[in-house]
Amino acid sequence: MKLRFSRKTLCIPYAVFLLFFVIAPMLVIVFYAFTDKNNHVSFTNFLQFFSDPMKLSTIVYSVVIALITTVICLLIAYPVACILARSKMKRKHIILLLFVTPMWINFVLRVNAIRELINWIGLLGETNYANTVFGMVYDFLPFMILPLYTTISKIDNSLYEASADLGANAATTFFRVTLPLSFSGIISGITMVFLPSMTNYVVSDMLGNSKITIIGKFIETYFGTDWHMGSMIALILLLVVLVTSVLTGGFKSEESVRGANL
Amino acid sequence: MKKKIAIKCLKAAFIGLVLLLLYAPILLLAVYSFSSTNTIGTSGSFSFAHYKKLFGDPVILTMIGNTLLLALLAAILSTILGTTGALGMYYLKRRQKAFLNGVSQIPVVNAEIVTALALAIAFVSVGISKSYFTLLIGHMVICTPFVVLSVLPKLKQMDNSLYEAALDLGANPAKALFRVVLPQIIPGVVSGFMLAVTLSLDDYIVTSYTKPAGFDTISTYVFNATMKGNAHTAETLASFWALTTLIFVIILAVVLVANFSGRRKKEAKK
Amino acid sequence: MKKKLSILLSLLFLLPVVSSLGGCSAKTQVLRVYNWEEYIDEGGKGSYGDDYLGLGKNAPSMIDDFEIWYEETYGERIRVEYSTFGTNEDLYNQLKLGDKYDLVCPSEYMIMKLAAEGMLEPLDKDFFDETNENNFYVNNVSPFIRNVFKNGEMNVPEEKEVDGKKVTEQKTVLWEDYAAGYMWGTTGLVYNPEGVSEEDLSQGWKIMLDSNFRKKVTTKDNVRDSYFVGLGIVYRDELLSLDKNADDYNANVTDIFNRTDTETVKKVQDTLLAMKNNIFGFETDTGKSDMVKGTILLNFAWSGDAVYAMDEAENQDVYLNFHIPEEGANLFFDGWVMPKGASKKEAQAFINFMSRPDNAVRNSYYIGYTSVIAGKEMFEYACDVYSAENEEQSIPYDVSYFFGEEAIIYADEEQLSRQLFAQYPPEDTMKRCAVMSYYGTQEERINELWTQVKGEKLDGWAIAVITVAIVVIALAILYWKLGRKIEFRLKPRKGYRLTDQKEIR
Repeated sequence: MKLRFSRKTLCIPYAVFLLFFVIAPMLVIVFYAFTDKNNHVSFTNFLQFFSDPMKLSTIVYSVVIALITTVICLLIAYPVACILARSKMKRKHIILLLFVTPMWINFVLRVNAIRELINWIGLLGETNYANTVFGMVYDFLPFMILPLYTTISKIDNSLYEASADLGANAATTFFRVTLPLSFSGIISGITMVFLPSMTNYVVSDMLGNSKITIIGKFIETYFGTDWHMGSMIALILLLVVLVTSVLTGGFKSEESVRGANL
Repeated sequence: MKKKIAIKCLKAAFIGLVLLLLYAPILLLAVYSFSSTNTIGTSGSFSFAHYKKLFGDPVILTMIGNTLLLALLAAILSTILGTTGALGMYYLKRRQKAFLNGVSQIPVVNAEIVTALALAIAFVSVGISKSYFTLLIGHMVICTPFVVLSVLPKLKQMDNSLYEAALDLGANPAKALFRVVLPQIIPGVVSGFMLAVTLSLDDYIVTSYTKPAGFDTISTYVFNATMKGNAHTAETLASFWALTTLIFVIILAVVLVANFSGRRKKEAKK
Repeated sequence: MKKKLSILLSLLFLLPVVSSLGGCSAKTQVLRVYNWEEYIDEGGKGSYGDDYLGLGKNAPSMIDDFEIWYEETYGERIRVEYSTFGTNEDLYNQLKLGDKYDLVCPSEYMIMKLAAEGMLEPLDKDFFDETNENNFYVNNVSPFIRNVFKNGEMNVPEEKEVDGKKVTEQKTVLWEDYAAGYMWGTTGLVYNPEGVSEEDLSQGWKIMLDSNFRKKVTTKDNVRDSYFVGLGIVYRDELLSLDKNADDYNANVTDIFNRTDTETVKKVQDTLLAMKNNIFGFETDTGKSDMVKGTILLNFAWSGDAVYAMDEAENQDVYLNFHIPEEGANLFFDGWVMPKGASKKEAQAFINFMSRPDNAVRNSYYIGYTSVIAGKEMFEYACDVYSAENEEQSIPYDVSYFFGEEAIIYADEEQLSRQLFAQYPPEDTMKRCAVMSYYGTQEERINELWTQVKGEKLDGWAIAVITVAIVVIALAILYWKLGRKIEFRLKPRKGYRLTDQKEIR
């Protein structure tokens, strides 16, 4: 079979990789989710999940915390990325590096350090939710900054000049030029922040003194005892997430991003 | 004129503030790395004990070496795989692209324990026992999607006509790709690479489920020590503060050096 | 291009083969050990505290020592592959997934769970042969601990042939048949005597509910420890009314702390939910440092952790005590077991080597937990650590129950409630310490309890409101996107018109 080399075929290695190491294992998880302890097919896990108000509450809580984290991350990261990308400095790459390298220090150590800081201020144990959100924002900020920076920096400078020529003030320029063109970066950033913040329970454990439980912690707990229920919760989480990504990305048309929405 | 300067100052101040917030905990660790105590928050005397332990203990050094090497390897492989994947994906038809994109997001979205367990079960059922190979695969599974996520937006922003122009000018598709498309997406590739390194350095769950016997990374050590620690683990954990400080100092040095070498270049041009 | 690709692909498939070849080695036996992090003396230059054992800065690793000893004693070469895990559940998962190990060191309840699922190999009969001088375990283990292991029962599945059919039955065995102890301890409360009085402590576990200590007390972030505390609170009256001098006092206490019936579970759940509001938090490892810093005044702790906390606190001139409530506390242990398919001879040799008194001292010293091993060296070590400097002001502390023969440490009075007390509680106190077994069939229900306690409870109406809000927002986004896409062809954006239009619609 002759494989005509086109740009499309470049994705074959990745597709094969995904097939073996992502799809196949996921099928295993699906199997576990829909079977019970004796490995007979059953929907009890599914029903059990939806009939337990505690689990539902936890998902809702996790979603809310994740949403707040994502929004705050966005609000902080966007100006940073914007300022950095548009700045005329020759060495802005270096400053970008400064934003990214805290991530290279082991996460547990950093969260521990944050915990000490909060303790010193005296807020530990008092405002568990705020602490957790603060910790999560701290952890995920670099993930939001990077994609935003790369997309904003690519925006053609002449567009800004054009918009100024046409009489737009800063605000209008922002909303009509910068924002729409950086949309795909925003989506990337949200993807990298929202979803992990629902499953990363280390922060809520350390900063909320384990009084706050996120759905990720549940999954972890269940995989210690009941793989089936754990798989089911994981699948439901996956569903929530797929729905979200369909809403934000699925209907986006390519053409509207290529030019500016002028 | 004044307004412009004011705005510039504000911008700089904002960036400075965020940076400060990001580095505050690290500075705290740095301060305590010079203290004799193993517990942050307690007072101790000035001492290099943690540094001595960091450089003196072969087990710790092996651990650090393992972690770094693994991260680099996994990141390089993931970047190659992810970039080719993103490139290919970009040129796919709508439905295929959406499907591939969706599947690619699964490791990002999934709770890590699920990915880890799923991989481990899959390996076991095929009869592959845990080795460095499985560990690499595990890390690539979690890193590559992030590379794709970084590269795709750049591709979308790219000007397609340049590629066509290259073809028109007589370049073959491979050359056109390398000379025209790749340079445009380099920032995305680089940020993808950095993300991959980060993820690999910090990862615990997938690592612990796919690593061969006797292999320890910084993360697995720290997590395991956190679960059931004793005096010794506390000491080793404290030596990691020293590590953190060193990384911080190195970064600072790199930044300053790059800063000054840039200036020199400018002056040389004059 | 295609050729290069196929070469690359075939190389990729060779990798796993190559890497798994690494373990092949003809003459050397391999022993795969799976243990907690830093749970044996691995040597190296950093030794804790002063160099008590005089092994010098380049103290060898226990593993290397074992390999040398094994070759000297049995004439065969052996290589130890030593791995570590973080929690019992992790260990269980890895074993279930098919990881092969020869020797693992789970906690008592996990031993019972593994046994119940038929995943363990029994110890050989001649492991307990006291005439064999290499059987360090049986010759040096504390009679007290040996007794615990001899009285503990658990179930293992056994396949029998009944009327020609293969049937799996439950057989009751002793813990000792499958496990050899390594480290043990009790749970209790580390407290700061400056903020907590004797009277406060007389509340027992109920102190967790005491609003005077609101946000000043912690419990552990795991279901078993918290369930135990819950039991202690729910059945406090019953426990205190037991006859302490009766022979079956310990058996009765153990019974109560092993209740897992529906009603008990419900009561414990309510208690824990009430506790949740009063405690500072559920902790795993931050409790030690929080106590030292004074962030909290009371901390549910395992005795080994308590010793560490008290030691660290001393460095800061803070003096903490350890208390085992009147109702009772949990007696726990980590023990060596062999998973199915293990190389038993080598594994048992490892256990014995670890149980040699001088090695046991090394491990104990390194980790800070209490070894199950008694014996002369261990007693001398305990004396070295805890003997009072001023003999005249010392108090005799009887630990004969543990060491088997007359054993009295002359310690400072304060040690009656500090490290010595935590490491070797007096015989009387041990009577109210009970082992909490694996929950067995009730495991799921008790895990549900934990979900209910740890989870975030929103009222029904809150869930409904938030869900509706999210659905509404989702629909809005959908409408906006779809609407724009359709309208894009028909309706230009505000202020613009299509080139062939005369008017703006």
